[in-house]
Amino acid sequence: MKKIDTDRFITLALSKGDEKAFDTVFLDYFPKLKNFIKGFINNEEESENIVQDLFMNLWINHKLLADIDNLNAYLYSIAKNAVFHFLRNSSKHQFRYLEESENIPENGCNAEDDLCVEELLSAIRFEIEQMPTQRRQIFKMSRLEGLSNEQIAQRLNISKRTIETHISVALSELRKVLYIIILLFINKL
Amino acid sequence: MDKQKAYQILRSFVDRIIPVKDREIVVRWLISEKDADAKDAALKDIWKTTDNHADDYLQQSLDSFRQNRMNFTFKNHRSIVTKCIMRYVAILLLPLTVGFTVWWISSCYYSKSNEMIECYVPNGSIKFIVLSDGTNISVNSGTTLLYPKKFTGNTRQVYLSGEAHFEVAKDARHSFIVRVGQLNVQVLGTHFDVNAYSDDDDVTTTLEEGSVKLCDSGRNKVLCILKPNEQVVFNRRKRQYTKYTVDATHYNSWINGGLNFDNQSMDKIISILEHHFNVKIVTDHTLNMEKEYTMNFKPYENIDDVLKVLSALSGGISCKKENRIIKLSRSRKEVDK
Repeated sequence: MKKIDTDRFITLALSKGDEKAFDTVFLDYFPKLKNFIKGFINNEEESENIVQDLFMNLWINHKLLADIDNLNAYLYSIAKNAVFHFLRNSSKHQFRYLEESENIPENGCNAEDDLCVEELLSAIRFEIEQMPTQRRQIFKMSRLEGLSNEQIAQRLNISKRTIETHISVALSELRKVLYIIILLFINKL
Repeated sequence: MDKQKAYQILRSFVDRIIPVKDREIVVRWLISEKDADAKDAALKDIWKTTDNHADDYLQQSLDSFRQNRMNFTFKNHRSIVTKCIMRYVAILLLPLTVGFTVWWISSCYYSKSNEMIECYVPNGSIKFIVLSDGTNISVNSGTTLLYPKKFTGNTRQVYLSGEAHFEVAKDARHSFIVRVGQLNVQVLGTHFDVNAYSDDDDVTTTLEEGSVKLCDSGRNKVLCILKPNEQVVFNRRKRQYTKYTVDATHYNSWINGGLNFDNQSMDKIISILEHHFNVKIVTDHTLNMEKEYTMNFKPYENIDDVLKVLSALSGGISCKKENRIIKLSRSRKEVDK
């Protein structure tokens, strides 16, 4: 309840075009928005630009913010739409490029794709099982169950930093291993 | 597809575990209509677990946002102010434009219909003018002629005080009228001379060519119609006219700068000389003003030549010339006789 009340307070200030309120929201949400979008776009500058544009749009249309109860959910939906918008536009471009050599199904997704993803996921699961116990436990909680680093830290009673280290090591290991697996796949074909 | 699996796929995607080659497959699945609920739930979880650690560039990002915001606000504010100003300018401009247009059109209209030109020819000179219809007018010295810049309406009217010679351009639809006070000289393309100095009661109209109709506009009646080489002298005070037959060429020689007196009284001769040479002639009571003379002078002959001839003809007139004032009197020799 308290969270919603402060959200209302902030969105009200935003809707009045309060520059300080905008600065506060910018500092609170800019990194999260940028990291979220960067996860899908994988381009530092592009992500930065997109988030800057999102904030400028908020500023230009600040009067519309008066009706927003949950700022976090609102920003999430904005970020999600931005990601979809970007991916649609860039994939259209890519597909056009690929159309010459491949047949792209009209709905943009096919059974073969499912199979590929399935294979990949099982490969990832297999690799996770090969990890040392604690790293495996942490990685599963984070990546399969969707817990935040803080939640994991509380449950396992270890520091957040340790968890971050474990995860980043696990991810880099997986990237290497999966790269090799993919190479093997290609060779098989 | 269940939420768990969707999350695993997207998580692997975001973590960049999925090799670049296969990322496209995930993108295709992500933007497709399939598994919308599962994907949405998975994305929400990813949003929740996305860390909010500020990188070193956060302050820089905030600064650039502030800059953009300021630029936009400034531009927006300026455009609002401009819009506001433009609105007032438009409000002010509309009546101004309408007013100016009305003024311009009306000024054009009035200049066409009403603008009269006054032509004053001082004593001692002659002027030649061409009217808008092509009529040539020779204006003698000491004469005022009023004429419109452009003729409008059914008639062509000019106002005369003095002497002028007209060569009227032919236009049967628009009769040409010379107005001399109450007297109208109405013509249809002819050559004629009108002599109507204000210090003279007589208005003399002499016709060379064509036909001329004289009207008394005060009594609204036609006085007479002239044929070539006829002359009508109209007395303004008595409102009576006398018709003579003359050699019309004698009455237009002034156009070329010459002087022509055909049985004219001393009185008339003196007034013509005053206009022609721009002099003042003073006479004393001893002079017979009724006596008539006939003389011809060429354009190059000056006032002294004229006085010499006049003196010889009259047989006893002495002249004293001081600047532009000439005193005429009977010579002592004559008085003694």
